[in-house]
Amino acid sequence: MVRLQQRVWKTFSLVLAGLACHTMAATAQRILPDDPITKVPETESAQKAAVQTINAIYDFVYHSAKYKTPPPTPSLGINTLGDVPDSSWFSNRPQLSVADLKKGPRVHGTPQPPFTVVAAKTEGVTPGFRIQDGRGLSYFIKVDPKSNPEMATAADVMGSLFLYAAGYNVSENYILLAHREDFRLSEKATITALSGKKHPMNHAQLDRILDSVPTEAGDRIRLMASLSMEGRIIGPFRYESVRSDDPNDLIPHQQRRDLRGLEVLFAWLNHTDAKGGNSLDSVVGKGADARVVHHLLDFGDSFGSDSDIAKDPRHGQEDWLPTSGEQGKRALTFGLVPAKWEGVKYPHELPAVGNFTAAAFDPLAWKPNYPNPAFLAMTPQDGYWGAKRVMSFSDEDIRAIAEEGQFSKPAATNYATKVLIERRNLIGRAWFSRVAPLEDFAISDARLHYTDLGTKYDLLPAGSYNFSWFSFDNQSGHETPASGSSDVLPSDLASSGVGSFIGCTLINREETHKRVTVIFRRDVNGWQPVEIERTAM
Amino acid sequence: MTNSLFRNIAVCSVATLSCIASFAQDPPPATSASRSSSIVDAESAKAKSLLPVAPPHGEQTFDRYEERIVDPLTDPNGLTFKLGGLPTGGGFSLGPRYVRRDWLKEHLTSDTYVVGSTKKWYRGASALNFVGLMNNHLEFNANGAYENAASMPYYGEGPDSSKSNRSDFRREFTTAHFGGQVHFLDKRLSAGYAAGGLLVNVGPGDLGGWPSTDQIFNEANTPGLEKQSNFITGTASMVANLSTQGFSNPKGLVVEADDTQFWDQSGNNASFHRLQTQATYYVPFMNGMRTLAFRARNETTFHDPTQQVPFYLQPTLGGPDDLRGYERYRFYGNGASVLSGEYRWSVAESLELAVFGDGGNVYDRPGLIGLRDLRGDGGFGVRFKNKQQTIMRFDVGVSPEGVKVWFVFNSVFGRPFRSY
Repeated sequence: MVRLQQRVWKTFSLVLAGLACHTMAATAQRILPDDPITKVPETESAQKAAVQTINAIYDFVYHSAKYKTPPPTPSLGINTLGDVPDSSWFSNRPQLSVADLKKGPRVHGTPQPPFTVVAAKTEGVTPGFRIQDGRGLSYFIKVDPKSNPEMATAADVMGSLFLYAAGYNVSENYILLAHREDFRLSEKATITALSGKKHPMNHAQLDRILDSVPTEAGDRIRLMASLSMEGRIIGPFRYESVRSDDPNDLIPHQQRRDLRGLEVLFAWLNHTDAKGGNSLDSVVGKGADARVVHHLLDFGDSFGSDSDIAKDPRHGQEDWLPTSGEQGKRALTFGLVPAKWEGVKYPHELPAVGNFTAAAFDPLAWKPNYPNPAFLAMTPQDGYWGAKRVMSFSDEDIRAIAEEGQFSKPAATNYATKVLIERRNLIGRAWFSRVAPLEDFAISDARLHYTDLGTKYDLLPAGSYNFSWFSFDNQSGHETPASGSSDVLPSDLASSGVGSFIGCTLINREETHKRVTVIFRRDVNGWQPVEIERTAM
Repeated sequence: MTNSLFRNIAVCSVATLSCIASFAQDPPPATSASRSSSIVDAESAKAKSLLPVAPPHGEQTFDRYEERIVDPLTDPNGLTFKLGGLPTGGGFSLGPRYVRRDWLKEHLTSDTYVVGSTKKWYRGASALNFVGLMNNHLEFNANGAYENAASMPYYGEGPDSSKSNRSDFRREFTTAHFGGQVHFLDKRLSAGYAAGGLLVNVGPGDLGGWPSTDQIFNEANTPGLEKQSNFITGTASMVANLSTQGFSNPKGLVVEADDTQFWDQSGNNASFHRLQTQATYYVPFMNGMRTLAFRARNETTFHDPTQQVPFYLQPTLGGPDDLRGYERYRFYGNGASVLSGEYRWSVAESLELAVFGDGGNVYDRPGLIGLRDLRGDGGFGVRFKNKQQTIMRFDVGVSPEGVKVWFVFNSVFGRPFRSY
């Protein structure tokens, strides 16, 4: 059914494309000479891109009401191998060294004293303020709740480092250990009151904010400093539709694989506040060079943290509105039949990690605080792509980033590392079971070689596959079966010349719906994979 | 309409362009020599027809309504309107409100409103508050109010009053208070004192179908029915919030007490003081997804043997906040005690269900309450919540006097509304 709908969509897409170009050439090639592309050419100036806002209440209500999974739509923003090329949204970062993982996007360094406070939010539950450091750089400052010292600040730093390493654009987040006397108040400092109005800020108000911050050993206070984004800030992006004022933003966001697959990374990190409001676009460059760069930010609601309190156990498990059968069952049974997640044990002896656990974590059922349209539209192929990003983090990588949370107790670092490893493996097992998790296709020595990620990561037993070889006509898209039925390249295909295409479909013997079709193009160096199509459950 | 048209054009254009640019699945037009050039072509085409960025039509509409309706309600400053504001039983009420919170760097706030209800109850009130003084440790308040409760139920005094003796009366209170409060420990501990006056007028009720109170009762069994007093009042209050933040409910104990001294200025021998204490205790379990909640409340009046407590200032029981299986203001007495317990289970972050039981009654003198006079009920509640805060609740209470259904916008164990 999914394949049928995809084909209908493809046909519809073709019609639209034809309308746009006034002609539908009969000689269209499926695979173009530069396929698979590794970078999206973003060539047009985005100088005219203006500030966009998202109404938080509307966003919440609108998306909460649209909690049902929409009919499947194809994933876009991918190359012919199903990978996401580099763009203003995502960068395929090579395997980073431990030092680079720890550094992440952070090139400017921790704020340098003295810290001049230039603005503050209210003195409310989660106070925050903005400073200029001794070098004149502007940072946003956030704090931990007194009930859970180190929790929210560590979450913000760790979250940004993991997502940067995974390929996303994030802010430079730092743990800042400072003395109160390092802070001074700008004469022009303002504070935004509960009414929304700004008033001149006084020392007593600054003291009250600093009073609410847990104090570390040596009378230092611990804060999270997030460097202001580079470029002209134009507000958050939406997880659906496109920006109408950015010429390079062509693909509906809810269909972008890098945003759909982000669900898997957010599930791993338990980043439940996955709303458009926690993103930021900026225009980098000027004139003809102006480009919109899309960032993720605000990871204080990740891991075991809900910023001002330990993570609500419901977050990640259920929608804000009662929408599931399990919730109905709980309502009717007086709560006497609890959900599995309701009874899990949290590490209350480690308040710095909050309510973070791998117990009762179901990667396929994980939910953000309220529905995200890109996440709802995620296909198994998107999930698989996201799971590959998650699985690319080794145990050592995870520990290296967890250490950047700068927990004062090694037990907290150990616990966060352990839980992330467990959650990573659950993700790999869940998503690699939904498709044929085969990668690294190559033909050498007249054989088809590939890597089964399930066995590579020791998560799943090796799958056994039937092989169907064919020659491929790139003009007509016609596939002509060849004689081979093993991983050995059939002799009638092996003699194909440069520029010819062949393919092989691998069908899982136990679960025949799991299949991968890979098409190779012969160039002067041999057979190169140029298209992978993966079907799923 | 224009926005909608532009949006439709934009969506169609973008869908077309995105199809061209959806690299893997959809063949490009034949005119493109490469994948990259087809994308560049699409970008160039879009660059020629850029539109200003704008929220979806629905969000724009919501923005407008939020500015006009939601913001004035949730974050009022200036002329707005008020929903509610009457004692329980007043019905749906609405009226204009003028709020200022931006004076003296938000240290001086004012709130003035007039609300009227479908039951013809009215209340007009004005308050001036000096807040956030001495580093949030001190505040002063001055307020005045006129309240016309046009149809207060009255069944007679004591635990044995008969439901069939339902009558109704009009109660008009005019008050003015000046007071101050001190706060400690991040406002977990607060104490205050307010002095003021209370002018009273009681008359026939406004609700059809029930006899007026003065037709069934008299001054002998209903003190204050014929001779109303005016009072000087002084109220000492204290709140100790020893609870911690939770997911559905707080955890721990909240203790509240206030004592109001009424000095009769009309020579009707109606000087007394009324002590109210309330303790609420929350025991969350199963990661806060289940909660046992208890509330014990006692109101007692004290007076010299020569004095009496007028019926319109007596403690009452019955209604959505205490004995939920009984009518509002079902029991009047010189004292009242009620104990409530609830088992609450979270169904979603926005929804909590509860089963509850209430027990208590009014009494003439402290110590006179006994099991024999105890009135009890049980029931079921549905609470719509935002984290710990109850936005509205739907409680069904069952008692020997019948089934009562309550739909109210408050927390069941919150502070009682005080009209005086």
